[in-house]
Amino acid sequence: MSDLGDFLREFKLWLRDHKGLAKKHGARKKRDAVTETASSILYSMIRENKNVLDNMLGLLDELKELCQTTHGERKEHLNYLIDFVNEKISTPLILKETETPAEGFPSGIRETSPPVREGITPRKTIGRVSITKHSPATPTNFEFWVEDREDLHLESTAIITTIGRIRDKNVKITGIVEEVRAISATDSPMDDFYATGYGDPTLELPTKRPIIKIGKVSIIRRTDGRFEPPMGSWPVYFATAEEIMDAYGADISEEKQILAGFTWDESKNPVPIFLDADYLLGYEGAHLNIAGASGLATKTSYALFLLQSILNYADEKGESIAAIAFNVKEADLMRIDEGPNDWEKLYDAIKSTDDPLKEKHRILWEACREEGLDPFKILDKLRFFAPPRPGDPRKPLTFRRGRVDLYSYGLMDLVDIGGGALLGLLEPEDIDEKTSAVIYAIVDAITDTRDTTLSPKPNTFDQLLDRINQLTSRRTDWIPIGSGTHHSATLSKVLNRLTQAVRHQLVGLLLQGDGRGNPIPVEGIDSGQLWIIDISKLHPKGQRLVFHSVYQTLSRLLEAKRNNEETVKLGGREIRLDNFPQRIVVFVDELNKFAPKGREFAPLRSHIVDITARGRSIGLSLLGAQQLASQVDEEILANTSTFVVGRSHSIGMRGAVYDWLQGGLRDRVYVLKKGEMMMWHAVHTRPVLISFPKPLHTLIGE
Amino acid sequence: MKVPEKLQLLGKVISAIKAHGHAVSRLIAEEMEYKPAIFDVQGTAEPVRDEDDFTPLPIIPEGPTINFQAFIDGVQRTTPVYWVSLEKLGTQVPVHVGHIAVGVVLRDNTGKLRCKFDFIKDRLLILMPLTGMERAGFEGTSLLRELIDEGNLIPDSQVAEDPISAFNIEKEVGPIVLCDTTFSGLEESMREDDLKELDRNPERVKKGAGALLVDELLYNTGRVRSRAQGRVNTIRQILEMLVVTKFREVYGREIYVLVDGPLFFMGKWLRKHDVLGGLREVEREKFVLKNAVGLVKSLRGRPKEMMHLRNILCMAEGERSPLMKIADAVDIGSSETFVKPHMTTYLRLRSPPEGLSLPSPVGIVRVDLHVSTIGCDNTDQVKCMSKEEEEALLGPIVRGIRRERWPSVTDKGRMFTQVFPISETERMLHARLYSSRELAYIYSIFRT
Repeated sequence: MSDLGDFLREFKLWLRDHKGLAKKHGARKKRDAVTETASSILYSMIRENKNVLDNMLGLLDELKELCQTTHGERKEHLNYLIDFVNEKISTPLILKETETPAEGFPSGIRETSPPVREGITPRKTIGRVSITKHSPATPTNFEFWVEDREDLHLESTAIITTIGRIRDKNVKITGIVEEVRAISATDSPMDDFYATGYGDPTLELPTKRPIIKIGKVSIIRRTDGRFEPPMGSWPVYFATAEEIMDAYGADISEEKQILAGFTWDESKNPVPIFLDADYLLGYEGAHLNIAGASGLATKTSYALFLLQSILNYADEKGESIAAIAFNVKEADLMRIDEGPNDWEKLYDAIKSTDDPLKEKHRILWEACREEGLDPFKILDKLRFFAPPRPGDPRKPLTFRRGRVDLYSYGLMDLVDIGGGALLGLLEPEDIDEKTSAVIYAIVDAITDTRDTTLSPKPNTFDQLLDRINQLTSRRTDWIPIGSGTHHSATLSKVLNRLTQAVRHQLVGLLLQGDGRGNPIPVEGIDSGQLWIIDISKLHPKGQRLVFHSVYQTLSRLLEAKRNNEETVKLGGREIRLDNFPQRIVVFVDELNKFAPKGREFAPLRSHIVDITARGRSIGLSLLGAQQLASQVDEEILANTSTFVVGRSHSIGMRGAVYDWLQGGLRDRVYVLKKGEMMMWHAVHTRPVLISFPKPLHTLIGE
Repeated sequence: MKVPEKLQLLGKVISAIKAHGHAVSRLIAEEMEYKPAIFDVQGTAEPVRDEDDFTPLPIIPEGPTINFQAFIDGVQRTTPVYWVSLEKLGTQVPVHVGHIAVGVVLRDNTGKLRCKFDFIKDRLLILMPLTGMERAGFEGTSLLRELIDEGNLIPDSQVAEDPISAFNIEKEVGPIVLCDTTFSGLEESMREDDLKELDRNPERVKKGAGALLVDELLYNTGRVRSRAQGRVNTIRQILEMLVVTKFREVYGREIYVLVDGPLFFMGKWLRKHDVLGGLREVEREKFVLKNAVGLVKSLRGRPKEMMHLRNILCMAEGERSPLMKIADAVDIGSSETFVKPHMTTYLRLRSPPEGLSLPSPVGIVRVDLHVSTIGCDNTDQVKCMSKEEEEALLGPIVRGIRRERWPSVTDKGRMFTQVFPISETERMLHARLYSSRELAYIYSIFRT
């Protein structure tokens, strides 16, 4: 069956490269449809005769015969297959020796080029596997020397293939070049110094010292599935698009492919790289972390691209997925609907930018289009949220100029969410066992109808602060709230912090005199939607509060959904889950703010960690971004199935979290350009360098 | 791993003698153990003109400079592999395996060296004093004769008779050469004469450097070993000469080639050449050696006059000795000498950065030229040239050699006299020689 697989892959690429089923809308779908028809036909033939693919002439006859009794679209698809098989058989082979004078040789000395076969482009060998005492090959790595040609460029992150013959079968090993070195036979710079006129840098040497380039390869995939090193001086080639897709995508079924970006083949054509939906969005795995230097790594741009890709996938496959993104800094995400809204406008916008990489972005957007990614679909499925301005609660506190829904929270909204929400009103360093006990006790006291310790029960923040003030002014050390007693000093501290938050830091976000505000209605998100929640202008407490509230609510809803419950109780409300999406993706920048590493006692963080740890099983996927992944809670990272790194400083690359990036691949991270990321996905065996196109709204201008 | 065909053939030869002795304990090539001496032989270099003195001349740094585009070298390894017991004599004699490789490497105008595999040849030899051994009662020669009849083994006398057919350099793999080191020369007629003389006047043929290695001389295993090494050297030079000839046929004579070692007389070895066979010996030699420059690093022959040698050893970098003629050139594999049209000059290629205490042989090389390279037909014509004319013809060549000083080689033992392209050629050729590990395959023959 692997022969059929190879055949179909070759067929699909032929459709793309030779039959014009590429670079236009619907091309990918058509290719998929034609390939599916071919697959079903060939599968039936193989069941009759398992060697049918070994005899192209016989196959051609059978297909032609079948075509006579086939009609409609199936016949059209079959004709493609017949053309393909015909081409495989009838490519003419004409040996033609060429003789060209070699450059650099005096007349009388000629080089003879190898024979050229017309009709077949020979694959260009770029080197040979090199197994030596000092560089043995292993099941995961090997080295190869590179042909000495000035026009042959090998960089780390290039993907190569080596082909060897084992028991009359070709075995292909595809790998990523981790490192490239240039070496010579000279032992040390001292020898080199003396060899050049005893240190005369102006000397022109009549003979060049041989210098060879060596590539070190990390093996991604081996076609025979063995975990063995290459056992010979096999020829090495740049990997074809098919080989690259096979290396990174063989274990991802087409039904589960989410476009993550593009790598490049030797001819500088973009090759799609996919993530497995089950490992990005649950239930096998989940979460993705993006790291990189601020302003250089394009973390938010990549997150946006990925959200588009995820929602596109959901739409194509009929999956029920929605996304929520928190705008944490500046106006990053609040303008995403301000770009071009169709392909023509997109190409025009690219043409008219001054960006020196505009051609690259055009190619990438075209490649996206070919893969069926429509970035315009989500434009009418966006919703923007922002908190009100402290001085004028009718106006949003945001950079966005367009329409925005306001959100705010009253005391009872936070009580409905749970004790963790109110904890967000304290600074992390203020949260300890005592203060968190007070907060939870307050929530219990409010929600428990039989409790009278806070009577009359406060409904608003004003009432709560007033009530606590009364309690602390009693001359007792121990004050009962809820089912326990708490020291008055602790209660005073809590009152102090709550007052600070409610009266000063979170004015506008928190309603003081109303029990209920206008919380973000996450239970109302529809499949395919992308909600952007602006928290950029909030005090950090407010940012943590809103993030935690939304995240916690989502978790409850998804858990209920996963348990096939029809409704869930949120506060006093019964929420129906019929239309609630099956999976939600949440993007947040500066994840280290919400889930920092360290601090033994941090209940707020532990809520997030706990939700994230369970996320994959309930369909909640966290796309977190931050400058330094090493500053994020380790448990969150341990549960993350995909890591992405943009341009970073060396100081940011410390820690075990980056162990997946070794040698030259890590060095490459220091020089990545905008729009380039190093990625490692759970299903891939090795990292890959991906490129993605510039976001639409950035094409129009800042 | 499959044993290479050539080694298998070698194994067959070795198996013929295995019952009569024992294997060596370690496989180490003779060349790795021998260090040549310097100026230990009386040579014949003398001034061209009667009025010439021995004062070194400056090498004028500016001026036309030839560019060497091809580099020729040969390497050899002579490894004892077995000791044959001669019971009648009560001694053992070593059997050697020789491996020779010869090649031409080109340099393009970007400075890169390129191998031309058509001009890289290697051959295997097996060496033993066979006639002497037979005379001492050795009986293992019948299989060797069979292999000769099959054409897989050729006697070294056949190489002397017709080296072109014997080596057949058009083929990648050639027959193994069976060298009978009983005799100092290669030619069959001379060997027959020596054998006749052995019966008549044994004392005469057992004396001197060309002695027959028979009877009591077989006790002197040192002589057997050095005879083997010398034979390998001779065979290698013949092969080198054939490769150079082929190179000239293809690329013509205008390209300047730098040859590692002296330019040896070769005219008589080409008498059976398709084209050159019809020419006189001197014409054959001119065809091959015009524009070839020999670079001699291991200096054995002294100039005729001691004063000349002293001047040479006192030269600075940037100086050369006056042009001299070589009054005789040594024939390959023979003690005979011939008056041949070779010119020579000495120069100091490099000296240590910390300076030299003169007189010193460090860095001294000898340049060997055929007279046609400096535009003359014979040494008489050179005699008629003025010093200025001589400088005009010799200067470009000497400057061309000096240009090859850099990059220098990293081999500490030869860094003052070796040139980089020759060093690279050697490296490439050495890679073709069987290592002692590979030759250890022969041990397996002895165990079966």
